[in-house]
Parts: sequence; structure tokens; C-alpha cells
Amino acid sequence: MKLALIPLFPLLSFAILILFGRRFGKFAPAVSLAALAGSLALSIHLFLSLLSSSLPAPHLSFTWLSFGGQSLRMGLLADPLSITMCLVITGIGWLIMLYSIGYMHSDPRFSRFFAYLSLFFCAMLTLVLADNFILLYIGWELVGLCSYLLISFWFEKEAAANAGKKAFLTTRVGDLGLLAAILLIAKLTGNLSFTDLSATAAALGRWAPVVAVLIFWGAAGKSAQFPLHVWLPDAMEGPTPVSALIHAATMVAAGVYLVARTMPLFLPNPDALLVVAVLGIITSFFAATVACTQTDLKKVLAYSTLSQLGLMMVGLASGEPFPGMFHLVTHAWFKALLFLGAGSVIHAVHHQEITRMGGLWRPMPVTAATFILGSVAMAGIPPLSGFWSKEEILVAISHSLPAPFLALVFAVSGMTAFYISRAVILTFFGSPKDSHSHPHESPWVMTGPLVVLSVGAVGVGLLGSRWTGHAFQHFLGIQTQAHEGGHTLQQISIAVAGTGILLALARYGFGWQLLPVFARRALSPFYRLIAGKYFVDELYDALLIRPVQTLARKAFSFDAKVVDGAVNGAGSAGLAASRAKRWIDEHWVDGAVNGLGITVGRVGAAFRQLQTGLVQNYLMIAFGSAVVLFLLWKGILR
Amino acid sequence: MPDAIGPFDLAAKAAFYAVAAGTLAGAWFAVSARNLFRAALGLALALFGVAALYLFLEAEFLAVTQLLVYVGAILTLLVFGVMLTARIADPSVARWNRQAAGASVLAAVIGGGLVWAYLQTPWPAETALAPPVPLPAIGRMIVSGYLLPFELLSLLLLGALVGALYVARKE
Amino acid sequence: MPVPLPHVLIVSAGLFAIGFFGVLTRRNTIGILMSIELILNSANLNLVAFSRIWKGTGAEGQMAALLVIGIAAAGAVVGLALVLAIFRHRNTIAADEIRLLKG
Repeated sequence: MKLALIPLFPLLSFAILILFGRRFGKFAPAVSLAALAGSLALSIHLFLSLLSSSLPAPHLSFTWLSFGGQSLRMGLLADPLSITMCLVITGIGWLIMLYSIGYMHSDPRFSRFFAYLSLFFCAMLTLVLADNFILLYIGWELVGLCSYLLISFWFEKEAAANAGKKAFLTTRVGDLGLLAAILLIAKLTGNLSFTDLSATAAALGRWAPVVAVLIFWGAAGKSAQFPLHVWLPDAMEGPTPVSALIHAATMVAAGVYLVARTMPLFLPNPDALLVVAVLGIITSFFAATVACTQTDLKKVLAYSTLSQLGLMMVGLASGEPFPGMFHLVTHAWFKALLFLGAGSVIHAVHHQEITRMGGLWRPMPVTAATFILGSVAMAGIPPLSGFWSKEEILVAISHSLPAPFLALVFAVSGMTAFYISRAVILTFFGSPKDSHSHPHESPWVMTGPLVVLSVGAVGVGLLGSRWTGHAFQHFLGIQTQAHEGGHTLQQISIAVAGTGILLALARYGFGWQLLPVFARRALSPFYRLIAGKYFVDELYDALLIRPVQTLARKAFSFDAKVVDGAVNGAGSAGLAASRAKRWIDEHWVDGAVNGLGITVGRVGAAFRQLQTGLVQNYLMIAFGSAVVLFLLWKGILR
Repeated sequence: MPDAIGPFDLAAKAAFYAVAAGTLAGAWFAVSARNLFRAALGLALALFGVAALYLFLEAEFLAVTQLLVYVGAILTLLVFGVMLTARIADPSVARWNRQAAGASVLAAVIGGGLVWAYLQTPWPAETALAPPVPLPAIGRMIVSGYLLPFELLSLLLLGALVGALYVARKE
Repeated sequence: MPVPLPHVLIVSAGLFAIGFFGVLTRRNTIGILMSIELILNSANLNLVAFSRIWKGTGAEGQMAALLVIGIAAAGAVVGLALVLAIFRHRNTIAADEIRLLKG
């Protein structure tokens, strides 16, 4: 079935590149690009066939294992939700892969990068195409592995290696929740397929909220929601294409996709949805505040991603999957664009601090223009994409969640506009702070994708708007409701975004101080708290990491002293035994053998004295013996 | 020797015992003399004595042959040997080696044993003694019955001659 | 025969004993040769004495004795040649100084 080829093309590319990649040299990306292009083409084909016909979604299913009386079915399902994800993944992924050719071109492990990327695509596509929890979990874990491999791609840097470890371990904590949920579903209902989840939800009974929260816990790990968000900023140690692909557009979106996919399990449980909403808004708000203080360009974008993911979760918490998914799609476009643009800047100036940049729009016009387009899209200015998806979220929240949530989302929007404008102004405008560097525009392999992505960032949102007759919603099979109060929300949203941009312009563009001195001093402790990311990492370190390390040290010393002591003791005992044996061997055994030899020697020496060499002696003995014998014979001598 | 009658009988006995004593004395000298030349002379005495004893036994031819060969040739040869190898009168050289004690015991045992055996045997009476063999008979025996041994003896002597020449040659 | 036969035999036994003693004890090699001659002579004497009571022609003993004399001569010749050869190499004729066979 053609469905299976979508994840299999990248898998093949991975196998080829990991084994023979070195030999391809700089042509290695050709393999992975070709494979991914194949997946993209197939996704488009499936998309078109879904659009045109009213046949049910293609579904590939087979029995993988049978045990006892039960059998485990595996399969791939290409319904609109999955195909949407496939298009996002393969399309944006292909552009990012093209970009990587330029970004990674001098890296010694060039081909391995593309091998890992291919493996990632295989895993992610499996994840979104899976039709049951088990296959999804398999993809889920593989994606985590690829994230680890790619974050710590430059593993010679200790920070990168640690970041990879941190990412893997933190998402692992989340994965346990997902695994527990899967096991509960298996035990309580026996049906792990996605095809009839509302029945599954009913069958779970009392456990349904627990299962839902556990699933969300898994999603929280992968999508970096509070309190499992700590790995995402550190993951910026990886190469920028990795940040763009995995930590902006796709992997972090897996959590959102999971919740959207399993929405029937959440719907009957308002408490579960509330948990989602609360954690989502916490993540979103606090991440937005931190983003305002960061000076590393990639960290700004990382916290921005955290904040936007929080928004997606809040959107999902409304009970409708569409707003969250819509924002996922638009966010994928503009966030990928922003990250690749940041990568282009970093490639040119060789550092990541916006405070040392400035005036880069002159040497790098394409990068600057596309980056600004992405920023405007994220800020939520119509008619760019971010506006439409954010509007959907606002509408959904206003229907289903209490008012504080709405207020906080507006605050987040304002902060989003503020911090991204701040980043833009400090990076591209003003006077260059660093007179020694001579930045230049990046090659076409890098700027090309930027341009294509900017088209998407600008236009994708329109697919869900009324200008296209809500085409996206129709595609996903969702009824569009009339948006009462939607106009008001739109206006507030635009106003908030505009305020944020203007404030940033004032503070950083013109250099005005926005707050009086006393206010600045009073607020400075808060500033330090925010800039320190609320010291969550430090808290985890003290509460969790240090105790575990102490335990590990104690276990190690136990091992070294007791276990090794026993082993060494056994060794010493063996050594003593062998020394005793050696003594016995030397003194008794050798003594016996030597003694025998010495005895023989002495006997021989004694007999040797007969050989005097004197003939007269021999004669004497001969005749004497003859006489004696004669006497004996005659009986005279007895 | 024909049976002596009358007063010659005693004289013959006395003569015999004197010759016997002289023979044994000469043998003792040959064995015990430190000076080798004196030992050779002792040997000569012993050989002479043996020849005389042959006469007593009425074997005249053998007596003469003994004198000619033993005394005349072999003894002369031994004297030559004595003269050629120096140190004939070194007083510090011991006569006998360390076996003297054991050897004397052994010789005594053997000699004594033989004597005792001789005394125990019932000898036939003197009248049973065979008559002396006349010389022509001996001559005839040499060239008829005992021809082969004597021819072989001459070969032996030839071989001994050649061998002795080879062994004793100057390098 | 003025004396009984055994007396002759006793003389020969005495000669043998003396000669035997000399062979075993004489240090001088030529002395050993002399002692050997004594032994041979005692044997000859025995032969001749016993031929007088031998049931035959009565001269067998004398024939044997003649042969022995001849052989003794040959032996003495070779022995002396050996003594001379040894004397030339080792400058000694003491029997207990020639111990090449010592093991």
C-alpha cells in the first residue's frame, strides 16, 4: 500500500546514509531529499484524493502479533488530521533539509546529519499516521531518540551533550505517563485503536479522566509544557535546522496532535480539560515573560515556541481540536521561518547575541525581509497567518473557559508582539555594534527556503479564514460556527498586538525608557526572577537531581567497597591459595623429584667407585668373586 | 730320574726340596723386589728352578726348551724392557699397590685351597707312574699328532712379532 | 721320582699363589709381566706332573707345556711392546698411574 511508503522512504534513506553516507560526500543530502520528496509527493497525492472523493480515508491494517486469544493489529490511517500533519511535516521538513545543506556544509559529520534527519522523518510520519496507540508510541519514542541524537549532534561541546541528555530524560518522564495511559486502556478496554475512541472512553468509566490526564502528561513532555518545559531552551544547543524542524514545527507539535487525536477521551471529562488549560496557560504566560528578557536570539525563539505551544494547548482545552491544530499549522510555518532566519543571521555573524548585532538589514536583505514577515505573522497582524489561528483560539476559549483565561491569552499576545519586535529591531536595525564582523547574505540554499516559508507564513492562515470559505475546517470535517462576538475579539487582538509592537519600537527603536527610574528599581527583583527563568531548573536540580546523584554516589561506594571488596577478597584468597600451592610444589613435589634425582646420582656415584680404571682392581674382584662363588658352590661357605 | 736306591735316595729328596725352595724364593723376589733388575734375576732363578723340576720329572726335552726359551729369550726380553724403561731403582716408589692385603688373602686362599685339595686326593702309588717318554717319541709326536698346533703356534708368533713391531714403533 | 707327586703339585701351587699375588699387587707393569710368567710356569709344571699319571702316551702334558711356552713368549713380546708404547706416551710404567679407563 502506498501509505506505508510515506514513512518508509525516509527509513530507507536513513539506512543508506548511515551505512554508506561517507562515500556520498556532499551528495548525501540528495538521497534524503529524494526520499522526503517521495513522501511529500505521496502525501500530496493522498491529500488530493481525500479532497476529491468521498471515499473513507485510506486505512492499512494488519495483524502484527497474536497471543492468547487476542491479536494486536497495527496499521496506518490517512484521515484528514493525519494528512494535514504529513503535509506540514514533509513540506516544511523538505525546505529545512534543503536549508541544512548550506548550514551544515563544513561539518565533518555531514552525511550523518541527514541520516538522523531521515530517521526523524520516518519516526514522525509513523507517529502521525498510526492508527493505534502502540504504533504511535513506537513513533513517539523514536522521535525522542532522534531529538536526542540531533540536539547533541555536536557532542564535543559539553553543553550540547548535556542538553541532549536533559531533553531525553525530561521527555521520558512524560513518556511514562503516556505508557501508563496505554497500559490502562489495554487492560480496561482491550481496544487500542483510534477508530472508535468514544466507545473506548465510555468503556474506561471512572478511569477516563485519569487516562486523559496521563495522556496529557505525555503530551506535556513532548510539547514542553510546564513543568516539563525545561528541556526546550537547552535544546537550542543543537544546530539551528534541528531547532527549526524539531523544536518548532514538528516534534513539539506531536503532543498537540496526540491530544487532538484522543480528544474523544477528553471530552467527557471537563476536569481533564481544565488541567490541560491550566498547565497550558501557565506555560504560555511565563514563557512569554521570559522571552522578553532573553538576549540570545535562539533562546528568544525557544521561549516563544513554549508560549505558542501553551496557546495551542489552551485552544485544545476548549474541547475542539480545530483551533489548536490550526495554530499548529500556522505556527509551524512562521516558527520554522524565524528559526531558519535566525540560523542565517548566526551563520553570518558567528554568534547569537542580539545585543551585539544591529543594522543587519543592509547586508542581509532577504533574511531581514523574511524574518520580519515571520515576526509579523507571529504577532498576529492580519491578514498574515498567525492572526487567523489566534482568532480561532480566542473564540474557542471565550466559549468554553472562564474569563481569566481570555485575559491571560491577550496578555500573552501582547508580550509575543513585544518580544519578537524587540528581537527584530535589535538584530536588524540600528547601528552595528560589532565593527569587526562583515556579515553577508547567506547562499541560495538557505535563503530560498526562507522565501518559500515566508509565503506560507503569510498565506496559510487564509485557508482557515472566511476568505477561502473556511476551506481548512471543511477539509477536517468540522462545522464552522457563527462567531458571535468574534469581531470584538478580533479588534482587541489587533489592538494588543499593535501595542506590543509600538512599545518595542519605542523602547528599542528610539531608545526611550518606558518606565520611570523608581519603577524600574522596584521592579528589578521581578526582572531578575523572570530573566532567571523563574529558577525552575535550579529547583529541579536541588529537589530531584542532587538527591539522585547522592544516591548514585552511595551506591557506587557500596559497589566499590563491598562488592569489589568481596571480589578482590576472593581474588586475594585465590592468590593466597596459589602461593600455598606453590610452596608445596617447590618444597615437597620438587623435593621429591629432586630427591629422587639426587638419590640416583648418589647411588650412581657410589657404584662409580667400582670403575677405578685399574686393571688390577678388576682382576682382584673377578678372581675374588670366582673364589667366593666356588666356595659357595662347594658348600664350604654358606 | 730313575728311582734312586740307597743313599742317593735321601740326597735326591734333599736336592728336590732345595730346588723347590730356590724356585719359590726366586718367585718371591720376582714379586717383591723393589729394584726391578733384582726382580728379573729372581725370575731367572725361578725359571731355572722350574727347569730343574722338569728334570726331576724326567721331562728332559722340556727342561732344555724351558731354559732356551724362557731364560734365554723371554727373560732377556724382560731385562731389555726393564733397562729401556727408566726409574728402576727409585726407593720412594712403593712396590705393591693398595691391594696387597686383599690380594695376599686371596692368594693364600687359592694356594691353600689347592694344597688342601692335593693332599686330600688319593694319589696312585709311585709304581703306577708312567714311564718317562724317550726323546724320539716326543719328536715323532711333534711332527705327527701335534703338527697343527705347532704350525699355528708359528703363525701366532709371526702375528705377535708384527703386532709388537707396530705397537712399539717410533712415531 | 724321589718325592711323591703331590709335592710337585704343591710347589706349582705355591708358584701360582706367588705369581697371582704379584699380578694383583705389583705396581710396575713389567713386574706384572714377570708375575704372569710365573703363573704360566706353574701351569706348565702342573701339566707335566699330571702327564706322568695320565693314561696315554705320557707325553701329552709335555706337548701342552711346549705350546704354552711358545704362547707365553708371544704374550711376553706383545706385552713388552705395549709397555714401551705406554712408557713413551705417559713416561710412567706404574700400573696405578695409568687409569684411562676410570669412569
